[in-house]
Amino acid sequence: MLTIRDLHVSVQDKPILKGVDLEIDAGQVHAIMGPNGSGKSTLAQVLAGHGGYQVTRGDILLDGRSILEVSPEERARAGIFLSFQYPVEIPGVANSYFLKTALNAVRRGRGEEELDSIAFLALAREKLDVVGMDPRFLSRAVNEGFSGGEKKRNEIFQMALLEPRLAILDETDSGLDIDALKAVANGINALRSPDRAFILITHYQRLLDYVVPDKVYVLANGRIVRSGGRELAQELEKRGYGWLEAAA
Amino acid sequence: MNVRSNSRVLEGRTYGAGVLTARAPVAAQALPEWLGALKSSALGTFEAAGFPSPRDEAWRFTDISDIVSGPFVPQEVARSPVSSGALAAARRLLAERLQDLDETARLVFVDGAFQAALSRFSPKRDDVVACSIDQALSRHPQRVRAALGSDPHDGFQALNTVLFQSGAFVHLAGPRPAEGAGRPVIHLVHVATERAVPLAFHPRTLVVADPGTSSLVIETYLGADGARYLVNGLSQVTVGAGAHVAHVVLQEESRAGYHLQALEIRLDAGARFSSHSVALGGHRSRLDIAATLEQDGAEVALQGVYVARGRRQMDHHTVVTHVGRHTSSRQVYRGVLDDRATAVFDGMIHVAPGAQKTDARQSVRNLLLSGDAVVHAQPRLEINADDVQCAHGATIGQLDPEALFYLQSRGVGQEEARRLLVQGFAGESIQTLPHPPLRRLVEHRIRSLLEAHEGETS
Repeated sequence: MLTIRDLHVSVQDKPILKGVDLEIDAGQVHAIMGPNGSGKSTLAQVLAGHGGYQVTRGDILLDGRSILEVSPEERARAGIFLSFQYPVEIPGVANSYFLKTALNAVRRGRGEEELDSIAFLALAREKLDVVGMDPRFLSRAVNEGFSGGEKKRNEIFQMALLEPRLAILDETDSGLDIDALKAVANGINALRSPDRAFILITHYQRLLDYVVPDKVYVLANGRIVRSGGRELAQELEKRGYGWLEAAA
Repeated sequence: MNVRSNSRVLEGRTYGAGVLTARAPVAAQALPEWLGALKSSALGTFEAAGFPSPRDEAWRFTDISDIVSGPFVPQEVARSPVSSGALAAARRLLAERLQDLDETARLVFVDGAFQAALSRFSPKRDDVVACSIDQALSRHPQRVRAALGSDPHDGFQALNTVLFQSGAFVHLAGPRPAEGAGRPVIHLVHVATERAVPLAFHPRTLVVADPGTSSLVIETYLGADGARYLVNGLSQVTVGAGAHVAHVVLQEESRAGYHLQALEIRLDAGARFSSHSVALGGHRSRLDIAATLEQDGAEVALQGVYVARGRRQMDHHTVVTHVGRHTSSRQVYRGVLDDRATAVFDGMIHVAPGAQKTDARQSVRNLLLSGDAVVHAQPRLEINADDVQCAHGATIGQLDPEALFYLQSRGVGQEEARRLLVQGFAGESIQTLPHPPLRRLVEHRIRSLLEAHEGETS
C-alpha cells in the first residue's frame, strides 16, 4: 500500500531524515520506535503533507503513485490519516461542525454521498462509543480545553469516523493514563482490518502490549537502524536506545 | 473646537448647512417647551464645539471629512415623506435579512420615520412600553425628559439632540413580567432605502429599565444596496438597581452608508449591562460606548465582533468609568480584516478615586487576512484607586498555519479550512450573544459575509 523509498527530508535546510525505506501492506501494523529527535514525528508530518518540510531526495508512493505533490486534503481523501502528537485547538469551531465538514469532504473524495446532519450524528454517536467519549464532546470547540487524554481520544474518534486506509499515529500513547491508553488501543484494534494499515509511532512499548505490531523499526538519527518483530520492542524496553544510537 | 473651519462648513451647501436650517424645525415643531430648550441649547453646544477634528485624540483615526463636507441633508430638510416605493424596498430588505426573532415587540423605522404597519407587538403585556419617541412624548413626557438627560457635549451627539425627529422609547416596568411571559425582547429596526438625495438620520433610542427587570434590546441597522446616507445615532440606557439589560447593535449598513453611534449607559447599584456590537456593513462605522458604574456592585460586559472587507473602516471606542466599589467590567472584541479594510479599537478603563475592588478586563484580538489591512488598537488604563484588578491585552495576528494543516489533514479543502478558522475566530464572540434566534441570525450573516465574493473593493 505505502512505499517509502530513500526518503531524505530537511527542515529549514537542516537534514532530519537521511534515507528512510519502508514498505507496508494492507492489513499490517508497523511500529516505528526511536529516541526523541530521531525524526519520527517528521516522518509522520511528511506523510500527511505538512508544507514545512522539504523532501530533498527519495519518494513516497501510495498504491504505486507518488504523493509528494499531493495536497494534505487530497491525501486525506485518498485515505491517509494522521493522529497528531499535539492536536490543535480551534476555538469557536464546534467539533461536530468540523467533523461533518471533514467527513463529507472525505466521502466526496471516495465517491460516496454526503451525510446530512441526522445521519452524521447517528454515525458520530456510534463511533464515540468505540473510544468511550461523551456525546457532549461533539458540541464543544475542537480540542479547546480538552485534557491530554481527551485530545488523543478525539483523534482516535476522528480516525474511526473517517475510516482511513492508512492511519499514522504519532505518539498517540504519550501522556495517557492507563484507562485512556486502553480506550485508544481499543479504538485502534476495532479498526484493524485486512484492507487497512497502521503505522504506530511511539517512544515506549506499552501501547504495543495492547496493539500487537507485525513489525517494529527503530529510527535513530534519521535512519532506520534496526527492524524486527514485536520482541524488538520488548528488548528496547529493557535496554533503552543507547546501544542502537551508538551503532547508528 | 475649531470655530473658523466650522463656520466655513456652515456657510457651504454641506451637511452643516442643514444644521443651520435646523433652527426652523426646532421652533416650528409642536414640541414641549423643555424639549425646544434642550434642542436650542444643544445647537449652541454644537456651534461652539463643531465637528471633531483629527487633532482630537478620540477622532485621530476616524476620517470624517466625507461626512462634514458630504452632501447629507438632514431628514427634515428633505421634507420628503417615505414613498410607497421606499416602503416596498424596506419590506423586501426586512424579508431578506431578518426572520422572526421571536420578539416581544419590533419597531421598524424606514428612512428615519416610524412605520406602525411594519411593526408588531405580541403578545400585549403591561410590563413593557415600546413606542416611537413622538408617541412617548404625548403619553409619558416626564419619563422621556428624564431619559434624554442633559445636553451632551460631543459635537455629533449634540447634533443628534438638535435634529432627532423620532426614535424609540423603551420602558421596562418592574419588577416582574406576568407569569410565563419570559424576558422581553425588544427589536428596533432602522432601514435606509436608496433616495435621490443622500439623507442624514439622527435616530435617538431611549431605554429605561426599572429596578429588578431583565430585558434584551436589539438595535438593527440595515441599508439597501447602493443607498448613500448617514446615521448619527444616540442611544441612552438607564439600568435600575438590580436590573439587567442585554443590548445588541447589529450594524449592516449599505456599502456606501455611514454609521456613527454613541451608546451611553448609566448603571444603578447592582445593575448589570451587557452589550454586543456586531459590525458587518457600512463604508465607515463607529460605535462609541460610555458606561459609568456609579453605584456599588454594578457590572458591564462589552463584546464586539467586526468583519471588515473592501475599504471599509470600523471603529469601536469604549470608555468604562468605575466609580462605585466592587464594580466589574469585561470587554472582549474580535475583528476580522481583509483587503484594504481598517479597524480602530480604543478602549479606556477609568478607575475613579475610591472605586476600590474594581475588577476590569479588556481583550482585543484582530485577525488580518490581508497585508493591506490596518488595525489601530489602543487599550488604555487610568487608575486612581489602589485596591483594584485591571488587565488588558491586544493582539493582531494571522491564521495559524498549524490549525490550517490540521483541518486539511482531515480532508477539508484549503479555502474551506480558512473560512472555518475565520468563522471560529469570529464565532468566539458570538457564543455569548443572548437569545438563540438572534445568535443563529448573526452566525448566518457572518457566514454569508465571509463566503461572499472576495474581490469587493468598495
